[in-house]
Amino acid sequence: MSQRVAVVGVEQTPYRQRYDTVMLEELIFRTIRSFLDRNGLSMNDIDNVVIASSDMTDGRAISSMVTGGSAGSVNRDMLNLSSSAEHAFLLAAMQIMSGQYGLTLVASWSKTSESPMSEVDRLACEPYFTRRFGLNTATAAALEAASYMARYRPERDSILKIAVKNRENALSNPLAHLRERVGLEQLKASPVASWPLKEAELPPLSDGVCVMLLASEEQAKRFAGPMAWIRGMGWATDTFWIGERNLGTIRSLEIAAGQAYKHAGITRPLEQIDFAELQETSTFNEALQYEALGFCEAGGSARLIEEGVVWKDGKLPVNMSGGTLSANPTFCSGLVRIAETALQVMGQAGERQLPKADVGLATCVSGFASQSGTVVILSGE
Amino acid sequence: MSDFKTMTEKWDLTYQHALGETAGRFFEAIANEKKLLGKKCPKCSRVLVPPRSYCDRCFEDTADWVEVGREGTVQTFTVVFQAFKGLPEPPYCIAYVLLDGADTAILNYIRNVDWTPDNVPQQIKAGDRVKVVFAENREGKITDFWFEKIG
Amino acid sequence: MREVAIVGIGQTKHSGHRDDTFQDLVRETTKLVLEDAETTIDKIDAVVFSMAPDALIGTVHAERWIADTMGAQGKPCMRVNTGGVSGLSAVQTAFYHIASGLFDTVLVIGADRVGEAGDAQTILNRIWDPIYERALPLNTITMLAMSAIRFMEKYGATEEHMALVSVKSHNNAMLNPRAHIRKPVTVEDVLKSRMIAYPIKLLDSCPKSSGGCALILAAKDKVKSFPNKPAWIRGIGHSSETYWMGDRVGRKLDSEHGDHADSIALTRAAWQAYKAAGITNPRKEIDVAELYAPFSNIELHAVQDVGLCDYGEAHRLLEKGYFDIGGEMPVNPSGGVLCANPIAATAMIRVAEAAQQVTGRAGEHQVEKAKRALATGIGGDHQFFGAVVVEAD
Repeated sequence: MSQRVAVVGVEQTPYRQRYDTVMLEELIFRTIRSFLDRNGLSMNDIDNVVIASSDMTDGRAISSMVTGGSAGSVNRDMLNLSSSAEHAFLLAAMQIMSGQYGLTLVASWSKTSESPMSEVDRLACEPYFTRRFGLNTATAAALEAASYMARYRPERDSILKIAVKNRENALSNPLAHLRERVGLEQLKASPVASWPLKEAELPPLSDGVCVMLLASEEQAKRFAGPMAWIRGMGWATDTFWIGERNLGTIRSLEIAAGQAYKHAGITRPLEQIDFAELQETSTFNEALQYEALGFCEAGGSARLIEEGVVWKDGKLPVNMSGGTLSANPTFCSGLVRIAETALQVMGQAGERQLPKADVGLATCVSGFASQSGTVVILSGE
Repeated sequence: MSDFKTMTEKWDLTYQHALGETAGRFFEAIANEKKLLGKKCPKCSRVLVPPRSYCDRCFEDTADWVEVGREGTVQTFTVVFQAFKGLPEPPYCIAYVLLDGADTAILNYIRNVDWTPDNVPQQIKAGDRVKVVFAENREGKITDFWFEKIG
Repeated sequence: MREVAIVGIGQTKHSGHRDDTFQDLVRETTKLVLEDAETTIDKIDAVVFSMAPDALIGTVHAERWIADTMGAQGKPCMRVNTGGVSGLSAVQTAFYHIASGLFDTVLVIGADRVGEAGDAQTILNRIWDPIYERALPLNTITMLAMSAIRFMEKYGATEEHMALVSVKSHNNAMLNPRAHIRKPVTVEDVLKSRMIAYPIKLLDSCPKSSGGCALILAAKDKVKSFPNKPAWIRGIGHSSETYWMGDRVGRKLDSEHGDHADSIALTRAAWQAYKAAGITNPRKEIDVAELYAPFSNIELHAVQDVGLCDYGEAHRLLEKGYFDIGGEMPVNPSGGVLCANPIAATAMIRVAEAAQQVTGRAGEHQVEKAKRALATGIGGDHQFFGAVVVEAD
């Protein structure tokens, strides 16, 4: 009944400010075609496709119509999720677990350079109450940060160091959009974007495509080399109403982690997980995620940073890819975290490869102040 | 003052879509050379018009450019008699036309016919021949040309 | 594969403009399905939403807004968007949630207030490729009018045959208290109705509806804890065609890539579902079909494509009453999409109606002794196709 599922391949475009010489569909096609060629596969080998597209980001009222063909939809079962890209990963995994399909392609993208992103963002507020107030992902992240600060009063420098860490890590990731160090003093001196957050504490806007290939146990045999098996998956959507949430915590991730840990048999995350890729929507958000995932007690994130636990040489390195702060193809940023986790587990992370990367955890968040959260745990067996 | 029943919201979103090399070349050929170009799939040999940089059937990059004819055959069409907000004043006809040398049909208006609901089958049929007419002032858009009936 | 059944069905009365909000509609739909299954939202493990263009609802990512409305905060939620077939694709997504072994009960819901967006067709004009086609006045009506032209040419069907489909649908809707349009029409009424995009006239077209539909799916071992007779999902199928309508005409159409008059992908989806359900002769083994057809001509190609009659026979059989409720192969006994089209819910309604038929809960539009039914959905520009076979003991 429940088949095991492996990630057998990953392909990403370098994340950049803009890809203005190619149409969105061409970017998607090229990425997938390169992936297939590199792996000696053709589209005919693929059973089905699950894509995730945001109509408003793509500027197409039903984006999957035009983009579907570039992801192999013709003559194939193609489903499209519009809530977030990681949901496409989850659905593809469930399709294989059910026994329906054996080799499923997952693809998502964002070409933010083409779109009026702040307006798209603003329109995600329901029209009756919140839209008039300029609530968007940055201001929501700021509210979250302010709540955390008020509650736990962490050392501000410690939180800033998360940006230093991620941007430093990005230097080893040729795919990252921002590949420049950001120093602590530089950060402290920089202007505030949305109080209390500095610009470098928030993600940039990037263009890019992320593709993953999932396989059943049977189909995985066709692939040489290590693969990344799904050990646990969990996801949850918390209330939309920010006023009703305790923004000093991320309830959606707590619930999601609970499910994923249960499947994976994880009771001591700091011991049992080797590394993590967290979709941080700000420095504070990353800190909050450590706590939601049980890496430390509530309010204890600063300690993890100061003691080096989450740095490259630490006990549980977080965001070797540079994280969302270094590359943010908005709608598929979450899928990128799962992809980077898979690359580490498969030993394919190149310059950013960790020596010990057997069990990896990815988080994906979407909605204002991480309203929805997903946790995926991958391991080498 | 609100009527306490409804709320009006307008969406005003402007996008800048990259054309890519293929579409860029197609529009340039229309604007500057009054030529219609297709692109051929090396696998299924279809000449795709309008041209695309990849064939979605074969999942293959297209390679060769092919100039197609300025006349073609109507494959299907419709004549619109109802006004829709933001769309042109009816009546108007849009049709997919297979230009000579192409394997796929391209969409555009068929103009200069006095369309009436009761006479459509007499006015236009699948299989009719049409010719491409270029606008005097072309901007590099699909509306730089349209079709007119031959004979 | 783990067996999954539909154990709860909720469907609002579909209508034109509603004064209440989208949230109210979702709340009503949720209430209906929970009451039908005699359960509470706490007992539901996960939720799947069907929602097509954001623009029709007026809020980007509206699914984030309505989880609360349903009392589903804290639950795993995701949203499916495949255009018009979203409702049915969402049912398949919910199916996978359970068949995977991860969840036991899932609520799948779709709702729309088409009247909310001032002019739906203006928005639906934005679904087209921005580079080559959006500057031209395409919308869902013109795209399917162009299918009608090919269909009539290919098989010899006429505008009268299209009108007969409309007459049948409207008559059936008189027996369906939930249908939006409940007004009988004659062939003459249809032929005289306003021409919208030749050959599609007003009475050949679906209405703009507000309404909602929800289903509760459960794993086999949980089915007994629900009061209703289960409608087992025996087979699902899904396939797609090229976006380019110009590629579905012209040359080099082959057995793999079909004509805009028909839909090869619908055939593929249906047979994938039939195969899983162990069906080899749908004409004998399917008792009733709810086929997605937003315009009358679409029903004609759909019955052929899903193998319920030979190619070229649909319009002839229609004349003989073959597809009437009392006929050999009842199609759209609910009145179909022609009589209710709350877009995000519409394809799910086909599944709901199919489930009602096989469990004997279709009331006045019940097809006698129906045990196995086919439901289909269409999305995009006649591009995405889904099929579900349901069966009851």
